[in-house]
Amino acid sequence: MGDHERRKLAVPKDLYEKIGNKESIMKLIKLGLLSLRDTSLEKEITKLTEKIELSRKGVKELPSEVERMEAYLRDMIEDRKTLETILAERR
Amino acid sequence: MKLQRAPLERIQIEESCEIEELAGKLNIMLSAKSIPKIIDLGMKSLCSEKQLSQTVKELEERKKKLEFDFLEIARQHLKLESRFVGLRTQAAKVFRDNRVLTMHLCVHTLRNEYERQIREELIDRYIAGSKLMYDSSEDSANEVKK
Repeated sequence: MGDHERRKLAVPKDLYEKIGNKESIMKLIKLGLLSLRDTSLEKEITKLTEKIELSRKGVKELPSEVERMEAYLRDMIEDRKTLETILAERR
Repeated sequence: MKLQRAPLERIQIEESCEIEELAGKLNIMLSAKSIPKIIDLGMKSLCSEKQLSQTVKELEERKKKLEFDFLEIARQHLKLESRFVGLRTQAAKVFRDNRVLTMHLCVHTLRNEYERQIREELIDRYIAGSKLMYDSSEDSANEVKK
Protein backbone atom coordinates (compact mmCIF):
# COMPACT_ATOMS: atom_id res chain seq x y z
CA MET A 1 0.00 0.00 0.00
CA GLY A 2 1.46 3.34 -0.96
CA ASP A 3 1.80 6.19 1.52
CA HIS A 4 -0.91 8.17 -0.16
CA GLU A 5 -3.34 5.22 0.25
CA ARG A 6 -2.68 4.80 3.95
CA ARG A 7 -5.65 5.20 6.26
CA LYS A 8 -5.98 8.22 8.49
CA LEU A 9 -6.61 7.97 12.22
CA ALA A 10 -9.07 10.39 13.75
CA VAL A 11 -7.84 11.49 17.17
CA PRO A 12 -10.14 13.62 19.33
CA LYS A 13 -8.85 17.20 19.28
CA ASP A 14 -8.71 17.56 23.09
CA LEU A 15 -6.66 14.36 23.37
CA TYR A 16 -4.37 15.53 20.61
CA GLU A 17 -3.82 18.84 22.37
CA LYS A 18 -3.27 17.13 25.72
CA ILE A 19 -0.55 14.90 24.28
CA GLY A 20 0.91 17.59 22.13
CA ASN A 21 2.20 16.08 18.92
CA LYS A 22 1.63 13.40 16.34
CA GLU A 23 4.77 11.39 17.22
CA SER A 24 3.75 11.01 20.87
CA ILE A 25 0.25 9.98 19.85
CA MET A 26 1.62 7.37 17.47
CA LYS A 27 3.95 6.13 20.18
CA LEU A 28 1.10 5.84 22.68
CA ILE A 29 -1.12 4.04 20.16
CA LYS A 30 1.72 1.62 19.50
CA LEU A 31 2.27 1.09 23.23
CA GLY A 32 -1.45 0.53 23.73
CA LEU A 33 -1.61 -1.96 20.90
CA LEU A 34 1.49 -3.79 22.11
CA SER A 35 -0.01 -3.93 25.57
CA LEU A 36 -3.23 -5.38 24.13
CA ARG A 37 -1.26 -7.88 22.05
CA ASP A 38 0.63 -8.91 25.17
CA THR A 39 -2.61 -9.52 27.07
CA SER A 40 -4.25 -11.41 24.22
CA LEU A 41 -1.16 -13.60 23.73
CA GLU A 42 -1.12 -14.44 27.43
CA LYS A 43 -4.77 -15.47 27.23
CA GLU A 44 -4.14 -17.58 24.13
CA ILE A 45 -1.18 -19.25 25.85
CA THR A 46 -3.28 -20.04 28.92
CA LYS A 47 -6.00 -21.60 26.74
CA LEU A 48 -3.46 -23.62 24.76
CA THR A 49 -1.81 -24.84 27.96
CA GLU A 50 -5.19 -25.97 29.28
CA LYS A 51 -5.97 -27.76 26.02
CA ILE A 52 -2.58 -29.50 26.11
CA GLU A 53 -3.14 -30.60 29.70
CA LEU A 54 -6.56 -32.00 28.80
CA SER A 55 -5.16 -33.93 25.83
CA ARG A 56 -2.24 -35.20 27.96
CA LYS A 57 -4.74 -36.45 30.52
CA GLY A 58 -6.64 -38.24 27.76
CA VAL A 59 -3.47 -39.77 26.33
CA LYS A 60 -2.56 -40.99 29.82
CA GLU A 61 -5.97 -42.45 30.64
CA LEU A 62 -7.18 -43.76 27.29
CA PRO A 63 -4.80 -46.75 26.88
CA SER A 64 -6.25 -48.42 29.98
CA GLU A 65 -9.79 -47.60 28.79
CA VAL A 66 -8.96 -49.17 25.42
CA GLU A 67 -7.55 -52.27 27.14
CA ARG A 68 -10.66 -52.57 29.29
CA MET A 69 -12.90 -52.23 26.24
CA GLU A 70 -10.86 -54.86 24.37
CA ALA A 71 -11.22 -57.29 27.28
CA TYR A 72 -14.95 -56.58 27.45
CA LEU A 73 -15.31 -57.20 23.72
CA ARG A 74 -13.25 -60.42 23.90
CA ASP A 75 -15.54 -61.74 26.64
CA MET A 76 -18.63 -60.90 24.63
CA ILE A 77 -17.23 -62.57 21.51
CA GLU A 78 -16.63 -65.69 23.62
CA ASP A 79 -20.24 -65.52 24.81
CA ARG A 80 -21.44 -65.21 21.24
CA LYS A 81 -19.50 -68.33 20.26
CA THR A 82 -21.00 -70.22 23.22
CA LEU A 83 -24.50 -69.04 22.33
CA GLU A 84 -24.08 -69.95 18.67
CA THR A 85 -22.76 -73.41 19.59
CA ILE A 86 -25.62 -74.18 21.96
CA LEU A 87 -28.23 -72.88 19.54
CA ALA A 88 -26.69 -74.81 16.62
CA GLU A 89 -26.93 -78.04 18.62
CA ARG A 90 -30.67 -77.41 19.06
CA ARG A 91 -31.40 -77.02 15.37
CA MET B 1 -36.10 21.04 23.23
CA LYS B 2 -33.78 18.08 22.99
CA LEU B 3 -30.15 18.91 23.64
CA GLN B 4 -27.69 17.37 21.28
CA ARG B 5 -24.05 16.83 21.99
CA ALA B 6 -21.81 18.76 19.63
CA PRO B 7 -19.78 16.46 17.41
CA LEU B 8 -16.32 15.83 18.80
CA GLU B 9 -13.67 17.65 16.88
CA ARG B 10 -11.01 15.34 15.56
CA ILE B 11 -7.58 15.65 14.07
CA GLN B 12 -6.58 13.29 11.30
CA ILE B 13 -3.18 11.69 11.49
CA GLU B 14 -1.69 9.18 9.13
CA GLU B 15 -1.52 5.56 10.28
CA SER B 16 1.88 3.85 10.12
CA CYS B 17 2.51 0.40 8.66
CA GLU B 18 3.64 -0.91 12.02
CA ILE B 19 0.43 0.20 13.71
CA GLU B 20 -1.66 -1.19 10.88
CA GLU B 21 0.09 -4.55 11.22
CA LEU B 22 -0.33 -4.66 14.99
CA ALA B 23 -3.99 -3.69 14.77
CA GLY B 24 -4.48 -6.36 12.11
CA LYS B 25 -2.95 -9.05 14.33
CA LEU B 26 -5.28 -8.06 17.13
CA ASN B 27 -8.24 -7.85 14.84
CA ILE B 28 -8.79 -4.31 16.03
CA MET B 29 -10.41 -1.75 13.85
CA LEU B 30 -8.72 1.51 14.69
CA SER B 31 -11.81 3.64 14.91
CA ALA B 32 -12.62 6.99 16.43
CA LYS B 33 -14.08 5.04 19.36
CA SER B 34 -11.16 2.68 19.99
CA ILE B 35 -8.31 5.17 19.61
CA PRO B 36 -8.84 7.04 22.91
CA LYS B 37 -9.01 3.68 24.73
CA ILE B 38 -5.81 2.45 23.09
CA ILE B 39 -4.04 5.72 23.84
CA ASP B 40 -5.20 5.38 27.45
CA LEU B 41 -3.76 1.86 27.59
CA GLY B 42 -0.51 3.22 26.19
CA MET B 43 -0.43 5.90 28.86
CA LYS B 44 -1.01 3.33 31.61
CA SER B 45 1.67 1.00 30.33
CA LEU B 46 4.60 0.75 32.72
CA CYS B 47 6.93 -0.75 30.14
CA SER B 48 8.86 0.88 27.37
CA GLU B 49 8.09 0.14 23.73
CA LYS B 50 11.27 -1.90 23.50
CA GLN B 51 10.39 -4.00 26.54
CA LEU B 52 6.84 -4.57 25.32
CA SER B 53 8.02 -5.51 21.84
CA GLN B 54 10.46 -7.99 23.37
CA THR B 55 7.75 -9.52 25.59
CA VAL B 56 5.36 -9.80 22.66
CA LYS B 57 8.07 -11.45 20.58
CA GLU B 58 8.82 -13.96 23.35
CA LEU B 59 5.13 -14.69 23.88
CA GLU B 60 4.62 -15.25 20.17
CA GLU B 61 7.49 -17.74 20.11
CA ARG B 62 6.10 -19.49 23.16
CA LYS B 63 2.65 -19.65 21.57
CA LYS B 64 4.12 -21.12 18.39
CA LYS B 65 5.92 -23.81 20.41
CA LEU B 66 2.76 -24.61 22.36
CA GLU B 67 0.75 -24.84 19.15
CA PHE B 68 3.24 -27.37 17.85
CA ASP B 69 3.10 -29.36 21.12
CA PHE B 70 -0.68 -29.24 21.04
CA LEU B 71 -0.84 -30.61 17.50
CA GLU B 72 1.43 -33.46 18.51
CA ILE B 73 -0.48 -34.43 21.64
CA ALA B 74 -3.88 -33.86 20.00
CA ARG B 75 -2.90 -36.29 17.23
CA GLN B 76 -2.07 -39.00 19.80
CA HIS B 77 -5.26 -38.26 21.71
CA LEU B 78 -7.39 -38.45 18.57
CA LYS B 79 -5.81 -41.75 17.56
CA LEU B 80 -6.55 -43.32 20.95
CA GLU B 81 -10.02 -41.88 21.07
CA SER B 82 -10.85 -43.23 17.61
CA ARG B 83 -9.63 -46.66 18.69
CA PHE B 84 -11.78 -46.48 21.81
CA VAL B 85 -14.88 -45.32 19.93
CA GLY B 86 -14.40 -48.05 17.32
CA LEU B 87 -14.17 -50.71 20.02
CA ARG B 88 -17.20 -49.32 21.82
CA THR B 89 -19.26 -49.40 18.63
CA GLN B 90 -18.18 -52.98 17.95
CA ALA B 91 -18.93 -53.93 21.56
CA ALA B 92 -22.40 -52.41 21.33
CA LYS B 93 -23.10 -54.46 18.20
CA VAL B 94 -21.88 -57.73 19.74
CA PHE B 95 -23.88 -56.93 22.86
CA ARG B 96 -27.08 -56.53 20.82
CA ASP B 97 -26.38 -59.78 18.92
CA ASN B 98 -25.78 -61.64 22.19
CA ARG B 99 -28.97 -60.23 23.60
CA VAL B 100 -30.99 -61.56 20.68
CA LEU B 101 -29.21 -64.95 20.83
CA THR B 102 -29.87 -65.16 24.58
CA MET B 103 -33.57 -64.52 23.92
CA HIS B 104 -33.54 -67.37 21.39
CA LEU B 105 -31.89 -69.59 23.98
CA CYS B 106 -34.66 -68.79 26.46
CA VAL B 107 -37.30 -70.48 24.32
CA HIS B 108 -35.40 -73.76 24.25
CA THR B 109 -35.68 -76.50 26.86
CA LEU B 110 -32.60 -76.99 28.98
CA ARG B 111 -30.80 -80.29 28.66
CA ASN B 112 -28.56 -80.20 31.71
CA GLU B 113 -27.24 -78.17 34.67
CA TYR B 114 -24.40 -76.69 32.60
CA GLU B 115 -26.86 -75.20 30.11
CA ARG B 116 -29.04 -73.89 32.93
CA GLN B 117 -26.02 -72.18 34.49
CA ILE B 118 -24.90 -70.68 31.17
CA ARG B 119 -28.38 -69.45 30.40
CA GLU B 120 -28.72 -67.78 33.80
CA GLU B 121 -25.39 -66.03 33.38
CA LEU B 122 -26.23 -64.84 29.88
CA ILE B 123 -29.66 -63.61 30.97
CA ASP B 124 -27.97 -61.63 33.73
CA ARG B 125 -25.48 -60.13 31.30
CA TYR B 126 -27.56 -59.43 28.24
CA ILE B 127 -31.16 -59.12 29.35
CA ALA B 128 -31.33 -58.18 33.02
CA GLY B 129 -28.28 -55.91 32.83
CA SER B 130 -28.90 -54.68 29.31
CA LYS B 131 -29.21 -51.02 30.16
CA LEU B 132 -25.77 -50.98 31.80
CA MET B 133 -24.10 -51.13 28.42
CA TYR B 134 -25.42 -47.71 27.51
CA ASP B 135 -24.80 -45.95 30.84
CA SER B 136 -21.06 -46.01 30.80
CA SER B 137 -18.91 -48.43 28.90
CA GLU B 138 -16.50 -48.80 31.78
CA ASP B 139 -19.17 -49.37 34.40
CA SER B 140 -21.05 -51.75 32.18
CA ALA B 141 -17.88 -53.67 31.41
CA ASN B 142 -17.27 -54.15 35.10
CA GLU B 143 -20.91 -54.80 35.89
CA VAL B 144 -21.29 -57.36 33.14
CA LYS B 145 -18.11 -59.12 34.19
CA LYS B 146 -19.44 -59.42 37.76
